Amino acid sequence: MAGQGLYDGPQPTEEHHKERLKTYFDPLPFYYPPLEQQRTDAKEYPFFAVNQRPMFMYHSWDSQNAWLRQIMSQNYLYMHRSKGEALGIKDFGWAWVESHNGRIRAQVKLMEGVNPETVWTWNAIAKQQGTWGLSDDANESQQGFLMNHLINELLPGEAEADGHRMTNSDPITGQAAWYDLRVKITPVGADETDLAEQNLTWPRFDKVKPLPNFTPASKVSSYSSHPNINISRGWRDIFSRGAK
Amino acid sequence: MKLGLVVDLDTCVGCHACATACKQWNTSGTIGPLSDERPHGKDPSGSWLNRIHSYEVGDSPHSKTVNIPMSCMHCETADCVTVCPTGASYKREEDGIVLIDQDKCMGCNLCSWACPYGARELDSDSGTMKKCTLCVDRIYDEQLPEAERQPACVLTCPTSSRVFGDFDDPDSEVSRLTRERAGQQLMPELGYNPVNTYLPPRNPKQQESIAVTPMQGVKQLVNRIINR
Amino acid sequence: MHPAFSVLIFTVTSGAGYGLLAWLGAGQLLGFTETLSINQQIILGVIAMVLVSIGLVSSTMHLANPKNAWRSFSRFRTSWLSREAVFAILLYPVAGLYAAAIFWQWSGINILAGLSMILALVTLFTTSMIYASLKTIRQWHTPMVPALFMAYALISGGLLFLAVSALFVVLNPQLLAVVMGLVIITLALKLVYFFWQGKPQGATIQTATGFSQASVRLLDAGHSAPTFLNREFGYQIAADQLFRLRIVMTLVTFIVPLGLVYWVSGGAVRIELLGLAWVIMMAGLLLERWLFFAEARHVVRLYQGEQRT
Repeated sequence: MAGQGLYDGPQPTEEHHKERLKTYFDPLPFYYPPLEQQRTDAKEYPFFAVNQRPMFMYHSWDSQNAWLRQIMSQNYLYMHRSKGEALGIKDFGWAWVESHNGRIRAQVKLMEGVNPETVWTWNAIAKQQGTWGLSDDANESQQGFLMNHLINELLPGEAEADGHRMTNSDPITGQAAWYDLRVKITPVGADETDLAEQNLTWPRFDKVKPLPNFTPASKVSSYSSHPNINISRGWRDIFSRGAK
Repeated sequence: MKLGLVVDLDTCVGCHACATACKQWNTSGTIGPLSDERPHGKDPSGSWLNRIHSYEVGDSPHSKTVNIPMSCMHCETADCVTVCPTGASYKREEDGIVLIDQDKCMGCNLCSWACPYGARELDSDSGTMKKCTLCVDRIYDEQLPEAERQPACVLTCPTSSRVFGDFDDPDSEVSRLTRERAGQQLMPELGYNPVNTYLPPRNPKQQESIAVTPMQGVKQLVNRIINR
Repeated sequence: MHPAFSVLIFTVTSGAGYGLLAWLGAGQLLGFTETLSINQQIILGVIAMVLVSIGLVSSTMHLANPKNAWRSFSRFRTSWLSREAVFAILLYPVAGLYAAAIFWQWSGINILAGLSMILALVTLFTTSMIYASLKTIRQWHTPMVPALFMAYALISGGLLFLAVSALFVVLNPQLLAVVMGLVIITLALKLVYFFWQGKPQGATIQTATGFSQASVRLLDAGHSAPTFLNREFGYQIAADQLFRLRIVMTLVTFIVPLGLVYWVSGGAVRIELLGLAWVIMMAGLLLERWLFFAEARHVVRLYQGEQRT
């Protein structure tokens, strides 16, 4: 209603803002293609890309958690097997993933149980070198990847009348529209970049300098709150028991 | 008594809560501590007594993701007990739990060669083999309330996919589930007779899809509700 | 299976030692050590026990917690490793008594010779059964494994016996023929083994996971970095590399030593070449043992995504 000029309180001044309010704040639900996808060429960027936090790291970061990162310290881009094979990408092969905003290099895992036009990954696994108390060669900084570099906070295309581009977010809640992303995927060719680079993610950033008084983690961690109480087996049992 | 676990593959979502609960309990449990190598470094590797493997069964578009948590099966004829030269590995007569006496193990790895399920791992810090103890230190602990005298993994599972009990008792929950849901052993042809039983995923009936006009749809819906 | 260097040295070296001791004992009973002096027989026995000792010391090096190694004698009832430990230790006093019997020419020397020979063969058998008793590794779970194990010990021990005793006295042509025959039989056994193991059989990823009516593929191992199980059992060798190594092993273990021995038997060349033949055979046996581990595919690999072993 504010878009229609019928509201008593603050009203938008810009015309495109009024249009936006009028269109999307319809009380009845209606379908429209996601805003970013209206401005991206589906033929050039054929895959939808989404991501999710793994269950054991839900609502938290946890790459600094010594146990949880043993379950996952590297993420893969999951892709339908038929699509991967059609593009010439092998299981655990590396590929360039590109959007209108940028590109990344990721390791691909082929699977059955995914929509063929969608690729997905576990998010927030990758970390910058030198952060989170991890060692310089930690898998998070060397093999992990973030879809962040493919996503822009602004919609692609021309600026609006006021000189600003529209925000890439849901018109009603303002939530960042991460899952509207479309990408194209090409296998990493044998001639591109040196061989040493082929098993590493891209982009990788300069190492963050450690904070003062930072001590690196030890190579072995064996924590217990008290010495374990071992259940001992007697000698008589050892000598007398047969196979059962 | 034949104590063991039933794991429901139909409802396990692969959240790893059971694996981390086990690792947490055994920080000071009877077989702890479970050490970690390069905990903040490259390729971190540690002792875990329970691990979850995820598989895709079938081909697209009929595939299904199945998560299989695997820990010691406490086999009835456990070869890991037979091959152990020092006697560290043994199966208790009273309840069938297979344990490793940490004071006797010499770390020869032979028991891990004998185990088909990968239940046993060498803890590089202690030099001994470690595996699931079926929380023997929890299930008999009188200081815990009765409801908590169960393995840590069973208590923590958010989908109630893990059940602990006595397979020798035909009225126990584990025996009932095995009967009703056709519980299976993994790799039974090797003859180890694992006690831990896995319930296969249920196969829901395919929903019929009928093209209907709105009026017919309501009529059919009402009929279906009445018949149920 | 990860080939641990200490275990390779253990089985090959102690195998040759036990084989040599068995030949020495057999020689006493059958009479072909009559041409050897007392000291020469003692030297042969000492060489055998030194080889055995090197092997046994090497085997303790792959223990993660060796302070409990003394407990390994306690489960003789069920464990082949325990049995091997007991017999290996038992052999020392028996071999010592046999050496004394040789030195002082005791009347009971035949009994001690027979006992040493039997104990050596029994220890070989128990060592091989450590591997062959494992149902989880189908490449090992066959009676051919203990048969081959003992055959390797007898041919490497026999060739060493020939090489050393030929330096002391004249070469015994009948013994040479027997050892050559044994090498040929062992080669034939090995080829049968290769043929038998090539056929895929046993557990598959379907039986391992319980879904035998559909394809099963690993989606996520549950850990993104290798674990103890990956390091111990995940060894991978390419099929063509395996084939090439098998050919090299066959040549170095059997063909080349056979050729050298045949050449020496003709009398045209120096008998020291027998020693060279033994060294070459030992190198070949080390490669054979390495392949024994590298070819072994433990069923736990099925849970890591392998389709069959």
